[in-house]
Amino acid sequence: MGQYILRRIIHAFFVVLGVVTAVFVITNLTGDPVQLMLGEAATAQDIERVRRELGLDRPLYVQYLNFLSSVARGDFPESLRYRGHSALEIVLDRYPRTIVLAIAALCVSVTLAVTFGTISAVKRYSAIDNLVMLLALFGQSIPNFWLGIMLILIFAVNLGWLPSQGYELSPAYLILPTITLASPGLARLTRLTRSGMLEVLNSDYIRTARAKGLRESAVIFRHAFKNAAIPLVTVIGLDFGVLLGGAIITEQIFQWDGVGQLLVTAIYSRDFPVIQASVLIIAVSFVLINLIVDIMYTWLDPRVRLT
Amino acid sequence: MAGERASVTSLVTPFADVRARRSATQRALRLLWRNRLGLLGVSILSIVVLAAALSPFITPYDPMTGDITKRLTCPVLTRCPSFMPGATPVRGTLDHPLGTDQLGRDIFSRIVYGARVSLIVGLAAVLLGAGFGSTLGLISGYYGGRIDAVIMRIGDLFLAFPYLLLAIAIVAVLGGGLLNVIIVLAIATWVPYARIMRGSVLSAKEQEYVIAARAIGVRDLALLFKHVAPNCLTPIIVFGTFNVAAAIIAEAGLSFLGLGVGATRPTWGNMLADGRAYVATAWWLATFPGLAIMLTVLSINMIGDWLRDALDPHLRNVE
Repeated sequence: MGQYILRRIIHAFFVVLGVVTAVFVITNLTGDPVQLMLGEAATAQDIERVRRELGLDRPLYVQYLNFLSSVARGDFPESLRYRGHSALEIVLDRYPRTIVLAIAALCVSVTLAVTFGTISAVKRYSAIDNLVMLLALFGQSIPNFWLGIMLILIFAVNLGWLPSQGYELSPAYLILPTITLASPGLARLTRLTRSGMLEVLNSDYIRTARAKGLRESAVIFRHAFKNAAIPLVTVIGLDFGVLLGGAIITEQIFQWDGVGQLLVTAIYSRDFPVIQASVLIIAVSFVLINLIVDIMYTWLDPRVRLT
Repeated sequence: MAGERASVTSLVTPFADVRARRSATQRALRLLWRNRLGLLGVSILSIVVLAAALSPFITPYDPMTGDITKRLTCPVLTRCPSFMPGATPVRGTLDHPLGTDQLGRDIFSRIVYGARVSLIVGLAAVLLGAGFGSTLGLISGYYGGRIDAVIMRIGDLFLAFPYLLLAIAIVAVLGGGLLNVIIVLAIATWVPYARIMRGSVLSAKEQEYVIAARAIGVRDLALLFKHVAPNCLTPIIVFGTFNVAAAIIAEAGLSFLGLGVGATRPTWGNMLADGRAYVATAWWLATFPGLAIMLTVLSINMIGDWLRDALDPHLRNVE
C-alpha cells in the first residue's frame, strides 16, 4: 500500500511539473508575450524595457529554469493590473472563495445524486425512475450559465428572495451560484449512481444478503451502496476539476469574487502573470485532489492495495 | 505482387464481418424506431440542422442589422414592460415572434443564424479532436513500449487541466475566432479518444484477423487504418456524439465570456452574454438563446443514448 501511494505521489509530482511546463509553453511560445501584454500602441523602448524586467531577453532554457525556480519559491512576477502585488498573492487571496463555492456545489451534487440515483435504481422502471432519468437528461443538457441567468430572473428579479450577485459568506449569496455550478455534475452523477447501483443490486452477494433475511435498507446501504460508491469516488474527483473550471463562468454570472472571475478579468486586461498564476493554481489543485482520491481508493477498495 | 497482396488481404476481412456490420446498422435503426427519445432527438436535431442550412431563406431579418425604433420589443403574445413611467404597455407582435434585442435586432433571425456557428464548432471540434486522438491512440496501442508511454504521459498532462480552463487558457493566448475555437476545443478533448482507441486496439491486436493480416505481410499503416481502426470505432462514435453536445456548450460558454468566435457573428453564447445585462428588464434576450442551446444539446444527448444502446450491448444491459 505504501508503495502504491509513493508511486502515485511521484506520478503527481511529474504531472505538476508537466503542468508548470505547459503553462510556460502556452504563455511563451505562442508569440511575444510582452507585445501581447502591452498591445499595439507600445513603443519599441517600452517593449525592450519590459522584456528586460521580466527576463525575456535571455535564452529560452534560462527563462524556463527561472520560471521553474520562481514557481518553486512561490515568487511570481508582479501583476500588471494590481501594481505592487505579486500575481500569486492576488490569486491566493481569491482562492478560498472559489474553493468554498466548489465544495458547496460538490456537496449538493453528491448528496442529491446519491439520493436520487439510489431511489431510481431501487425503484427500477417505475414512474419515479423515469422521472429522475428524464430530469437527469435535461440537467445534462442545460448549459449552467443559462440556468444561472434563469435563476437570477426567477429568484432575484421576479420573486426578490435572493440577491442576484455579489460575494458574501452567507447562505443567501451562496444558494444560486451553488445550484448553478452543481447542476451538470448532479445530472451526470445521478445517472452513474443509478447504473452502479443496478450493477451491484444484480450481483450474487446481494441475493445472498436478501436470502439471509436482512432488512432491505441494510442490503441497500450496508452492502450495495458501499460497493457502488467505489467508482463514484473517481468521478467525484474528476468532477471537482470540472467544478473548478465551471466556476470561471459561474463566478462571472454572479460576480463572485473568486479565482475564476480574476482569471477572466486578467485575460481582458492581458495581465499575463495573473493568468499564469490562476491557471497554475487551479490545475495543481485538480492534480492534488485526484491524488487524494487515488489514495482514498486504497482505503475504500482493498483490491487496489493488493495490485 | 501488390495486386496479389491486395486480393489476399481482402480475404482476411471475413464475410461474417460485413454481415455483422450490416446487421448492426439494421439493429440500430430498429432500435431507433422503438426508442421514442432517440427518434425525438433525431427529429429535433434535423430541424436545427435544416434551419441552420436554410437560414438566409427562412429568417425575416438580417441578424446583424437592427431597427433602433424597435429596440427591446417583447415576444408575440406577451406584454412588453414599460420603460417610461406612465407609458401604455404594448404587446409583442408576429413581426418579431421572439422579440428584439437592445439594438433592435430580430432575436429569431439571430438564433437561426447562431445555430450555424454552434453546429459547425461542435462537429468540427469533435471530428478534429476524435481524428487526432484516435490516431494517437491507434499508434499508442499498436506499437506499445516507449511510444505508448510518451503519448499517454502527454495525455495525463492534458487531463491535469479542467477542460474549460485549458480552452480558456489557450484562447487567452491565441485569441478568439471560429478556427481558433475549433482548434482549442479539439486540443482540449483529444485525450479521451486516444485512451478509448488505445484500449480497443490493445484487445483487437491479439485477435486472429490482425495476426492473419500481419502474417501475410500487410503493412503496418494499412493494417492499422484498414483493419484495426474500423473495428474499434464504435466507442469513439458514441463518445464523439456526446462530445458534440459538450463542445456546443463549451463554445457558448467561451462566447459568453467574450472569448469565443467574436462579437461580429451572432452566436447563442454572445446573445446570452448580451441578455444577462438586460435580465431585469427584457427576459426574452437571455431566455430564447438558452432554450435553443438546451434543445440542441438535449437532442444530441438523446441520439447519443440511442447510439450507445444500439452499438454497445454491454452498456445497454448496465443502464
